[in-house]
Amino acid sequence: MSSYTLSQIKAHPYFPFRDFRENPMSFLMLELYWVELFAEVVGDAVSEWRALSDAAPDGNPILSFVNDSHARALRVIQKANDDSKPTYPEARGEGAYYGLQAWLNVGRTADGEVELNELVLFADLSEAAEREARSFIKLHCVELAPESVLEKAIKDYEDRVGMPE
Amino acid sequence: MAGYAALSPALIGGPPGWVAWAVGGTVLTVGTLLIGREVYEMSRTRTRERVEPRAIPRAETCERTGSQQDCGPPRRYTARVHAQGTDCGGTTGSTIGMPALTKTVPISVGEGLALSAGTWGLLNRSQRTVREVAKARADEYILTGPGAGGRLGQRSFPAIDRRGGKRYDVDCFGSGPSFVG
Repeated sequence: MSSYTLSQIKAHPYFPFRDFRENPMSFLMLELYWVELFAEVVGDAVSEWRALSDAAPDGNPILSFVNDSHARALRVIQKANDDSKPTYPEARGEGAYYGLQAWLNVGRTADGEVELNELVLFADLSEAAEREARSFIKLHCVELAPESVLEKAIKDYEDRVGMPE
Repeated sequence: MAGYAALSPALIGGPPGWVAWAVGGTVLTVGTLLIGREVYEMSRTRTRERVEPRAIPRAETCERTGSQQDCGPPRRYTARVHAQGTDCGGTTGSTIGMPALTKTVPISVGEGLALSAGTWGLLNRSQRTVREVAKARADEYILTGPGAGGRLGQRSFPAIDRRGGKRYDVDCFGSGPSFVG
């Protein structure tokens, strides 16, 4: 089995795979992007994580992993600027498009038996979103930060980018 | 083979490794071949059913029902439709909604929509305004459940480009999918 790096994925002519809803190849590349990003951030600890559910064709979710030992989960929903709004950082506040939103959730395994501390990222493949996603994934999946720390990190991010209420 | 033709344009210009994609016949196979990460393999291999002889159920008295039928564990289906986010209680995980519905048969589409309507009725005007589109998408997700073979797992419908994790969530857990009919 070979493995592909993020730089190889980004070199693909279809990147950033905006037609993923119609094109199965783009959809697979999108899945691959998030798996590789997750694996790159988590490093050796990736073996502690397993898939919680399959990716959905509309990208909600595009990635869903769980760590049973720590009762933690990560879910990624693919975001797209479908309304062609002006994009952060060129635009900010009301009416601006942001490449990443984040929140915490009380998740569950599919059988409903185990409660999970879940981080959800609603993100696209822009450089700014990737930078923020790496930071959140590291905090939640590697450093195993408590909820209060993650809530503060989310609020700090939203303040910094000027995301509206 | 039509699958190969569809995939071939993507091979142009990529690194040599992209050629590996052409050996897959289907989308699923291509994904499995390509990724090569154990953690991801697990999610894919789950979809491959193994052909094994089925156990013939023995007639024995079920302690739970008293009937002489195969007596497996009780089946359980749960659905929950909630509004969540900082405007629902201070944190991004805060939630407002109808209590989850649990039954021994799949939750119906009508029951799912009733849960959604019940939760909507618990929200104030500003909580509703920011979630109007999200709620419409959540209801559509419930309504189209039967065509998709039902719904199982968590689904978030976020308020787009809003802070605080404001969203409308539909969660289905248990022995199998709900919203099947």
